[in-house]
Amino acid sequence: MCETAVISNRVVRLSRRSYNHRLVMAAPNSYQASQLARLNRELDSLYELIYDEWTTISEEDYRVFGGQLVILIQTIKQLYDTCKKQPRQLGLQEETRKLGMNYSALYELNSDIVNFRIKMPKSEAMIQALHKLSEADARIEKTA
Amino acid sequence: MITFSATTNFNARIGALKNVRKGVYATVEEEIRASFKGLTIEQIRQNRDMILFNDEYIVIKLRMPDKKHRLSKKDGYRLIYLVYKDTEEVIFLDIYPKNGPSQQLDIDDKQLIELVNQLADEREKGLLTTFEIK
Repeated sequence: MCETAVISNRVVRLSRRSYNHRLVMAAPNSYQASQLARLNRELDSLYELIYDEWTTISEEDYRVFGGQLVILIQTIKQLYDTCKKQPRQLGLQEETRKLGMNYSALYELNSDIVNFRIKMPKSEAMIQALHKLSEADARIEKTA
Repeated sequence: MITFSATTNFNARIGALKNVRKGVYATVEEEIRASFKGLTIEQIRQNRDMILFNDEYIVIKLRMPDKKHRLSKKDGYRLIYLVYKDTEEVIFLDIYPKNGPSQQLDIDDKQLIELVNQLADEREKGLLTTFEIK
């Protein structure tokens, strides 16, 4: 069992914060790069937390925070798209680039959990593929 | 002695990355060599980026940096490789960048199954090529 409750709380908190950033962006003149920098640091830290835990995350754990994580990822993407449209004078380019990388990193982590922690252990097709490789290796060994 | 080999898919991916305009990914092979140089087989097998294992094989999705663009492991390349548990053999299956013009966000279970199936076919047909880690 991973730190499900901690992850869940932080995901929800960051979803709210990311959404609030989108609202503030509606009046971008009052928005500063430092605000986006802070959000990026927190997203970085969330990534590290989930990455540290990812090999122990179970299907049951993911059921707790998976839906929230997907919403966070969607919200970050929307914020990223909004930031990209802002005038250069606001000076958000570098932090927008980092936000895009944070989106990409969290998207990948979520995908890895779904594909390799939840789906893969039950995959009959993967068991067959590994068996096929094992048989090929055995035949090569025999002829060597 | 550890042997490193590559599938035709991996070689094609490397070729395509090296051909991207302005040499964006020109140093990809150097990054691979830097990630494996001097490692023992145990260090290559025991990796927190492991995505699959059974009695004979371990499959790892390695996070590699892209030093040319000052990108950390989190944002650099992803290298998919299979390592044998009983012999000192490492086979590179796939590689992709997390950023830039050829950006790929993830790899799914179906793509990984396809890579293992390709490996089984190519291993039997003797199509794997040596990858030098110097």
